Amino acid sequence: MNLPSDVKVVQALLNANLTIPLSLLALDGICGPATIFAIRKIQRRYLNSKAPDGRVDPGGPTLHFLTDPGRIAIPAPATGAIAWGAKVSPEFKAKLIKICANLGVDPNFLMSAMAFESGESFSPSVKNKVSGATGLIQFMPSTASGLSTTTAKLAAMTAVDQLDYVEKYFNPYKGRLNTIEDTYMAILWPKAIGEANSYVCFSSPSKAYDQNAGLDADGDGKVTKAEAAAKVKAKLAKGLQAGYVG
Amino acid sequence: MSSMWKHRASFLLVILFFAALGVWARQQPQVKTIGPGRFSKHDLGNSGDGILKAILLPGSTAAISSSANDRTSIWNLADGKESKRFSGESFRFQDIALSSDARSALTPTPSAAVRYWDLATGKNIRILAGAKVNISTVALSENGALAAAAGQDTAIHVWALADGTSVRIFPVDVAQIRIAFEFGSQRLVSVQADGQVCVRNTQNQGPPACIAALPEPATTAVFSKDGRLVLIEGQYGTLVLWDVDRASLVRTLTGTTQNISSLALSADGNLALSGGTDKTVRLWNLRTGQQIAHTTGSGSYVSSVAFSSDGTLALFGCDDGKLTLWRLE
Repeated sequence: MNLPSDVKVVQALLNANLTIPLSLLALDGICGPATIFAIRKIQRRYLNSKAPDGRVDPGGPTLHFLTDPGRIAIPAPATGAIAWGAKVSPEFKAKLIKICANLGVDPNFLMSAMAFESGESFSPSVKNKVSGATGLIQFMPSTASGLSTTTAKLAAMTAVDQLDYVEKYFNPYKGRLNTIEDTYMAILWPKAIGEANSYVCFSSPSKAYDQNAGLDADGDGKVTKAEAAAKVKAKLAKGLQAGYVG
Repeated sequence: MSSMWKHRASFLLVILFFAALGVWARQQPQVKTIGPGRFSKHDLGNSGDGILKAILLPGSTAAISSSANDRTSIWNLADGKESKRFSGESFRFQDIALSSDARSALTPTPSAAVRYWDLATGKNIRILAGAKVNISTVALSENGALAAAAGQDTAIHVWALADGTSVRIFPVDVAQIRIAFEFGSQRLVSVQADGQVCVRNTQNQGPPACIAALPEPATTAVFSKDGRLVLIEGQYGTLVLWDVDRASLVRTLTGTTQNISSLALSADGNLALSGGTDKTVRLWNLRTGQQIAHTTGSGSYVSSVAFSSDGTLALFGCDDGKLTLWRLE
């Protein structure tokens, strides 16, 4: 049984990897013939599969291929386009690029992390009702306090102004966020920054594992750094598509 | 004295006692009894914007609060009124360390400078410079000689308070949640966002001794006054009491430990307060790890909790600016 949300992630990953002339898949969450055809095409072409099964299994070679960071093309900086750039204002984009230069982070990585955290809204006021986490990187009430503000104040400011708080939050990790995984770890689990992608972030039994069990793609009771960042990576793939990149 | 007179005298004493009790009860403003009857609370006031930090001053006759509208207020506990107000960006702070005579305070400012200032006048005694990015936690050493600050800056800073000179700059590569000096030693302790507790010797520039206290990121922490115990809340709801000297876990608290937004420890280390995003303030017995009582705050979360020095009063502030006093006797 495929979850529509999982299918959407795979569709976005397929789109990001389609260098073969195929039209982009609609991100409809339905694992229909076009999606299966695209999976088979990639399995035949890149994984030298004689009998492509059209499946993307957790921990399997196809998922590994689709999420290989080397495969996801980053637009040349000369074009000035960044992932999700079409979904934010020119002021936001310009400030984000400047902040990323200060922090030594690829803007595509930070945009993808914010797309994931804010549910693609890039809204300063998007809020988790239970935890009270708010905004672009889902600032928790205690994090807001540490930054000398409140979540209500963060929600009331513009997205451009909230970027100042995003920069402050990321400041301790500047110069060390070399991959999209490291960039996301600054939000999820700072201890994993600089570790290998096989590093275990959370393992069962623990509250941290229970609350992140959905990230454990291969179901081995451990959430690795690669597994934890897979959804952010899928946002990078999606954000580089026409209509999102800009 | 005859036995009849003795009888009348004690009868009078009883009457006087109840009369005094009646007067006392009428003087308590807006007492609302909750829970088992031993706990009552009343509103102190509203600072007009989210409370960032509020503590009771020694002697339990006054409280000090800072709120997101760049305001520091001193509150008189007897009448619940604001007795003094300071306004300006440097009066917005999320942590405070008091001098031993409680006449001055060390607080961060939004510009990342740290101020040591006079509570009566609001005037600066010392400005401690060096940090470039957000300072979220400050500490004073036992004898008041050293001040320290950390947060999202890439270093923990230690200064000599007497002249404001930099004593140590310890580089860090992770956000610092809370710092404290360990009394009776030269050690500076910190709780890091990666769940580690790190100890540094202020006498030298050596590397820290760090140990993982939590299997998840730390979001909130509070040290006992002597810096030997620390209560740490993790992002996924693990709440632990940690012994700094032994570098070991004292206890993991059970019950409602999710979504905590503020913490406090009593001076004797036996009680804890937690404030949450469910607007609930909880009182914990740290000897058993059990919750003793709870009460409800306002706004959308409880942003600050504090004990009086004798542990009989609690003060909590919420993100709507409201401050409430909670009697724990």
